[in-house]
Amino acid sequence: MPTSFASSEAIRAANEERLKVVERMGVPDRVPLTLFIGAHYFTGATGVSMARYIEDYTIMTDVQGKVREKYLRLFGLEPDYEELAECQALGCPISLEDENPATIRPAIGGPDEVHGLEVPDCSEVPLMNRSLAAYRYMAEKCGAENVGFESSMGPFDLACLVRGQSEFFTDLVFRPEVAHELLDVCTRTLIEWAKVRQEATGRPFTSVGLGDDFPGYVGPRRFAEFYLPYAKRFYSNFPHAVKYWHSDGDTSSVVDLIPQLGINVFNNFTPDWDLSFFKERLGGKVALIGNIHPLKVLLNGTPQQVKAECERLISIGAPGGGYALSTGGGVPRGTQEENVWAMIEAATGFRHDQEVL
Amino acid sequence: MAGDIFEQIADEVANLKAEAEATCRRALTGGKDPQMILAAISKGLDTVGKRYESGEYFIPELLAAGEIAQSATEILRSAGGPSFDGPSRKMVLGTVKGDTHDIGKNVVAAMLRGVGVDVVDLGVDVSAERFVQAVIEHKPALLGMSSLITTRMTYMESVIEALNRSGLRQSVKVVVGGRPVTQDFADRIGADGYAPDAVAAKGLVRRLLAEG
Repeated sequence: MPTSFASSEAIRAANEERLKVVERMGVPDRVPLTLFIGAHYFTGATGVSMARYIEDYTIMTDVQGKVREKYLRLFGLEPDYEELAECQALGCPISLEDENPATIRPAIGGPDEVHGLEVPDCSEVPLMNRSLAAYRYMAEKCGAENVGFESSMGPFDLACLVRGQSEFFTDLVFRPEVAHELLDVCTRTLIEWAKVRQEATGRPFTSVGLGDDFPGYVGPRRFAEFYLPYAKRFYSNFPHAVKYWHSDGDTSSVVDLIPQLGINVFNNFTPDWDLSFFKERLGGKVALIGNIHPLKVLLNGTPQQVKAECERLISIGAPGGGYALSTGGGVPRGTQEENVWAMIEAATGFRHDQEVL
Repeated sequence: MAGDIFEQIADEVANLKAEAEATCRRALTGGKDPQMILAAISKGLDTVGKRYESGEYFIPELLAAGEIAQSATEILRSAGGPSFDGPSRKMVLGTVKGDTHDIGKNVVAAMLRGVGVDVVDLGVDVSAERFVQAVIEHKPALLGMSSLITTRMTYMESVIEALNRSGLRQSVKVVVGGRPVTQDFADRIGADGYAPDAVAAKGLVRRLLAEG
């Protein structure tokens, strides 16, 4: 017979309090969990097309809400346009398909065109407006305290998409002044966009996040020149917020520079390097949230394998504090529910065949 | 000395000097054997690969070296030698449908062109139908697919199925790569080869081309 458990709200609240302890590098009474779930999982789990999800925020809200209710409200709702709004702001053509991720094309055709880029008026960017409207709708429907609006893509990935990834990477070698100019306009755009989002929430951000998957691929010298100054400039605009940095690219070559970002939390980082590597290099300096392998374990493993891996990661991450369990990257589309529950059970002790009050 | 200009080309490629293109042109107009010039470019790229493996170079340097080598080999090609034609050194390459990431593919393309492989780059977001059409049109020895997105790499299997349905699978060797791709995945979908990065891809393609 399933046994009863504390209310789902009590589980959620306890998890949230533990996460706050982790953000401050403290030692919680047990390791919390963050569920890093995005559009691909939401749409796959509910059978809603990607295009409808993006184009109609009432559907987005409904879809996220259903999954959130299923998983004990362990994550907040979020206007979920991934990098689309920021890319549109700088002129990238975007096309939506029913089932595929959106296609984003570079905004400029050559290095000379970087000079023509300007920080946009966010109120004139359709997807930024839609994102703001989505936030207001979600906050009204579910309560502002349950909606996240603090994270965006970072300046490096935005530069890659605006210029073209290969073109931007070769700019770093052959045309560094062009790369700097582009990173500058991307950073200023993201600061402006974050301030607009913050204003929409009606209160200072208590946390703020950037997601940049590509800067780790350029090596430490170029990371120091082309990434650190821009990320630091962004974070300096939110001095009192807890600062999150997400990068699920390979950061192994730049790992020792990560504390220089001035961040509090490194979240959902690459699963290709074991947690023990990051714990050894960053433990005591930056809180860590990760890094269950989303494919090898979460998508393709059994619930027993997922739980065992979670327990292994907790045994590595928990000592000394500053650790929360999560995935390395997002929860993949198609992940069976039992595997998500295995993660939840490992962190909260709650089994989904137990009753909640 | 005859060896000097070849050494210079190799050094310029290895050290990411755009002058390599002009040096190749000078070597060619000076009557040097195009095959030897190509070998010098290839030697420079081998050094780049070693520096990448040792942690001295990273992805931007691979792309830059590939771009230089590509420009240099283009000079040889436009001058009519060495021969790049024929199916034995031709490869069709693309990022699969639903994925617009091009770094990995472009690094591989540039490195392979630098060693004389005739790469037909289909770009990004390439459908199975376009891959099949390109195999029919170009008759390549190899077909390469790349993906950076976990949820899109499974499309590689659709491409292999489309090759099977078209009766073309036996005519072309299929190689796959991209950050989430693994040897296990490559084996599971029936690919002929997998490379974890562009440097390994260069070795893999050389080996498969040599096998014929």
